[in-house]
Amino acid sequence: MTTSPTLSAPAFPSPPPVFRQGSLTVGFRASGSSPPRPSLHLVGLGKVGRAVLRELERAPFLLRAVSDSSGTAFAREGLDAARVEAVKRRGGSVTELPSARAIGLPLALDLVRADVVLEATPTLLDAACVKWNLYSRFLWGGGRVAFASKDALLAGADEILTEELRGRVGLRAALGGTGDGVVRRLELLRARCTDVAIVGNASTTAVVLGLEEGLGWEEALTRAVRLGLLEPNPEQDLDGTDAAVKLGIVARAVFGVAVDPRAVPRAHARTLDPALLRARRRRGATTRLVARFDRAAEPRVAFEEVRPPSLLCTGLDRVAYTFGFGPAAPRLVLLGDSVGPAGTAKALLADAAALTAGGAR
Amino acid sequence: MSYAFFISQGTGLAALPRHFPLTLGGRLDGAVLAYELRGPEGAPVVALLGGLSAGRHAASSEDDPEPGWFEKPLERLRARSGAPFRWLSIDYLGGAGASSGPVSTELGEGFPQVTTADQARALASLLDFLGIEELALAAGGSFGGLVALAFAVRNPKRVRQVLTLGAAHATHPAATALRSIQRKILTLGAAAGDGGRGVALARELALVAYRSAEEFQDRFAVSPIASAPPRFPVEEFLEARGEAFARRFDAASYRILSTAIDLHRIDPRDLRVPLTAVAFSTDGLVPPWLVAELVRGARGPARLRVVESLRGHDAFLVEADAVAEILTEALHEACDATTAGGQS
Repeated sequence: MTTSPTLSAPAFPSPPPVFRQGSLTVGFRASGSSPPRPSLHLVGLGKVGRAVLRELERAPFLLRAVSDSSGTAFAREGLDAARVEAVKRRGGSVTELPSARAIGLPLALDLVRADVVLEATPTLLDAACVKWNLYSRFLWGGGRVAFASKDALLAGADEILTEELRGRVGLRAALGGTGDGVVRRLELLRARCTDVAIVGNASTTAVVLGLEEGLGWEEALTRAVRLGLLEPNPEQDLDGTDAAVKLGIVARAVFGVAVDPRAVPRAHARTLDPALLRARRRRGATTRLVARFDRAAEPRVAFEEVRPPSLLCTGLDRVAYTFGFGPAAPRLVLLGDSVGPAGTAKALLADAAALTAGGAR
Repeated sequence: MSYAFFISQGTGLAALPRHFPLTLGGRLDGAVLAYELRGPEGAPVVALLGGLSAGRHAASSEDDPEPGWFEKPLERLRARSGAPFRWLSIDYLGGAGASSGPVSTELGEGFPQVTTADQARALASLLDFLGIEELALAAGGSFGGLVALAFAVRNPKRVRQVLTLGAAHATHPAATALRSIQRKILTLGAAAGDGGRGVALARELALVAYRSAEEFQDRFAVSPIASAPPRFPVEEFLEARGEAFARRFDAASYRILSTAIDLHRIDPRDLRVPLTAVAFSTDGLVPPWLVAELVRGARGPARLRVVESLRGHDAFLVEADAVAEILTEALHEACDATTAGGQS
């Protein structure tokens, strides 16, 4: 995703006033017109973005704009999601669409001013600060964003979750379906949480389970891809970077501590010994990639042996974020199943629904 | 389906199959079942399934010293049994505990209706998760007895014996009538914007049905303790219990589990697993004649034990010695059968 230098957005005519249900005249109400659908601006048209486009056929939103690295297509009356999906599926770009313009994203966000931006671009650690600056400006300007990508969150999770901005941000998709659970309990977590343990990467769980069942490395990867849990280029999952990024987001949000995922020691999934995994399985245990943080120790990401009743014995397709409050205290467990492109897409739309629950602007 | 709950030490969460179909249609995606499994590793496993308001914490242990819902009978059982065993208890799906339900998921009032058959399938999935091939004994009281029966009918090879306490193959119209009034009270409470009060009142009505008239006669004076308006000792008892219940149970969970009781049906002829069915003499909700019907219809070996008690339906929790004696007998018989089985 290329971004243009920061521009002053030209004065843009306000969108026509939207008639909320409460302001309709009796006659208008009697005609049976329904309130306007909240509008979306979908940024990023990779696997997750295309999954969103497919979900939009059933979802009560107006797709006002889509952006990829080539530009943005915008239509006030709404774009045809199926058409956009077809263009991207065959490898085309947004600029092939009739209403497309080759403009940078900062300008596009300001011009479109959709009710919610769905941020579905790939997570790029090197771009974290740039993306955070972009979305920080947009959020402080009154915008609403549901995040699937994690780079901006890594750079600014603590600022995003201030009281002023919290109600305009969706984190469900970025944290496997658990993000809203974190946000809702943020005050409690910030006041009393002592440690966090996360099994946040369903891809590695799928690979581990395959190896436990006796599959070879390539077979386990192929199966995980087939289940929709592994990207064709899965390095960030397999080398633990994704797990470290999620840990970094939570550490920043809850503890206010900046964690550089690249500096967190972690092992590549290829170093797993299948014989060891199977031996653990025979003993009633299993293996999970666990990311841990507490104030006393360095953050760490490692494959650990876990056994029931450990709360980290997640199933396939699930992530677990667990928060401790002291040695004997109950642990807060958040589980999510918004994994893979389809699950992430649903979570983005769930966030969009929550962010627009008061109606379209 | 996302999930959030505070889980105490030693509680496990088992992931149910990704798409868990429900008997009445629909499915639960990403559901989990909370459980406690206690006792020496490798020992035979007894499923202890409690009433509607009970859950995974059947008895105290090193991990959790709080008394559980089956504390005294289990204490007696452990003292009498001699041989080691493990006990496994669950929070019911759709309930107010840590399993997926209206409180722990974002579904709230929209959480679908689950049946005793669904609970039984969830239990079977839990056994798969834990690598337990077979239960030595499935023992359930009240709602738990219904689940134990549903499990035995559907999984005859996975349980050696079933024992029910105050449970039968179906309910009867008078009990359904009472529960339907409780559910209407829940609806009225919600409509009045005071769901907690609705839960408390519904529970008060339930408590009257759980105990016998003789017990109330024994425990409470009839003279009012206040005169304007008149107020009676038994009211204070009911209100305190109702409010305590409403602090930990929500209306949606109460409705789901209550309805499940009235939807429960098994054909006794489908029951081939050896059965010990315990009835209590003053139980008006599950009277001895109804339990006798279950025993007569069972295809496998079945026996009826009637325990004399003033404690009505709640006797299964209160008559600790009598229950422990019957449980011990059933457990010994189950453990004497074939292997000492359990863990794969």
